[in-house]
Amino acid sequence: MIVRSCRLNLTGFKPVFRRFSSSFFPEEEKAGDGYIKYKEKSVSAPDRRWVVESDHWKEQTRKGFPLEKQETLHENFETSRNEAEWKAVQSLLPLKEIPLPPKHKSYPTPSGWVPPSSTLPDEKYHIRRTRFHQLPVYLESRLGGWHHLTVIRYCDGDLWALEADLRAEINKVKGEEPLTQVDEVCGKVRLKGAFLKEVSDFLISKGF
Amino acid sequence: MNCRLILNGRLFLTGSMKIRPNLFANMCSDVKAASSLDSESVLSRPLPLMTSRELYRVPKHQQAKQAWLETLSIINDKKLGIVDLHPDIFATFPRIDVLWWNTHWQSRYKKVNYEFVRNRAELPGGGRKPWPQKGTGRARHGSIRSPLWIGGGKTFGPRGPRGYFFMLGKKMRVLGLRTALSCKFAQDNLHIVNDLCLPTDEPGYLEELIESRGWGLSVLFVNEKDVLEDQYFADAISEYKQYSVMPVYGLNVHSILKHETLVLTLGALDKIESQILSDMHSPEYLEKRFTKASSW
Repeated sequence: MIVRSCRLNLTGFKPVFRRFSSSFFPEEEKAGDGYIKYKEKSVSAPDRRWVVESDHWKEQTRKGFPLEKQETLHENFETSRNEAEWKAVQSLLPLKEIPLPPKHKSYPTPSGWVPPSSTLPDEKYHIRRTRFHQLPVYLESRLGGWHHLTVIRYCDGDLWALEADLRAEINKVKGEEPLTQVDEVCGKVRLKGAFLKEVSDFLISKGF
Repeated sequence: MNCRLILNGRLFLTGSMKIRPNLFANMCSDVKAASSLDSESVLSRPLPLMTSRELYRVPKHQQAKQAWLETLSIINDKKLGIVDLHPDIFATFPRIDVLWWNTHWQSRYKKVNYEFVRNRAELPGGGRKPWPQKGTGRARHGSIRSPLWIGGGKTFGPRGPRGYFFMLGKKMRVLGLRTALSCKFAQDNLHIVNDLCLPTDEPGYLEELIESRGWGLSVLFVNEKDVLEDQYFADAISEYKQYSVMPVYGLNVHSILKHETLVLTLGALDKIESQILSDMHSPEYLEKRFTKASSW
């Protein structure tokens, strides 16, 4: 196998190859244009893909710069102690935890979000909100999108009471009882059919 | 929850649930006051040492669970106080499937299969046709290393070192720990002690204590730090195979299930709760480090 000269490596950094001892490594040679080229050298080795352990992002940022400027690329900067600037930086940092939702003037909010009721609903079952404070009602599709299932997750307590209530509610709205499945181990209730709006309205009316 | 402890063994609960939000940094002032005491002065202080604990983001439909605060300083089962436990961690629904996934993941992610069988190309010989194609009356064969032959190569055999590494989702890992801790608590196999300190260097003290309290055959102690400060405890636990000690960051589902009883120190409990809660409420629900393979 022949190692070609690395014409695309403009970084000036030696790529580290696995599976080779240092004696196999091609010798460096500086070409006239300032970039490093490697000599052609024949190496007997199994024909496997080489894993290059170099920082891709560093390479991309240094790519357009000539070699002399690359060394000083990340050295000439000033540190700032300005609080206003630091606030702008902080808004870009990722959140460590999801905050509690703020209090709005009226509900539902323009996006349609409604908080759970302040008092506990008097039911045998309970449904938690997700970590993003949304209702845990999801749509599942089967058979390549031909069959739709509505899934209610994070259910707790008497799931069979919840299932009976849901069936009665869908019967009232749609005029037909859906097929249901109660998964007590995982705390889920599934309804056959896409009833996201109906189920969400029902849960909100209950206060979950 | 505020409660009062009376030393003749009867427990009276008073007051109502008090939950303060945003208390990650200073989750429990009572715990810090109690854990700052060494085991010798704990017994001389008036009891109870603590009766409440502030919990972070308790869901409305659940209540804080309670456990005794115990000590290893004396063999008698003397209760030092009451510790409140977070219901999201110590009272979740027992998801047995999640427990199975966690133990499966733990057994698989470090497993390497070294089995290797050579195929027909890697065996020596076999290049010559053993007998002519026609005229001998025998079956036609082209190589003595064909997979049909005894001593021939293996087709689709195990090839070389093969890793079984995969990464279970972070939610599943956190839920596995929550489920395992909940199971231990529900089965009365979870105990909380002020620290891991023994008063004597007698080798039989620890076993006698564990037997007298009915903690079972195997016990897993979890310490806050990875250095045991008490030499007596370190010496005692090194003598018994069935008793183990591990730091908080080593806590895992397999070890929790393997040992009969789980004993946490107060500091360890604090760290476990804050870590699991921060994982539960963190927006980084995808670990891109493991989901995305580097392509360059």
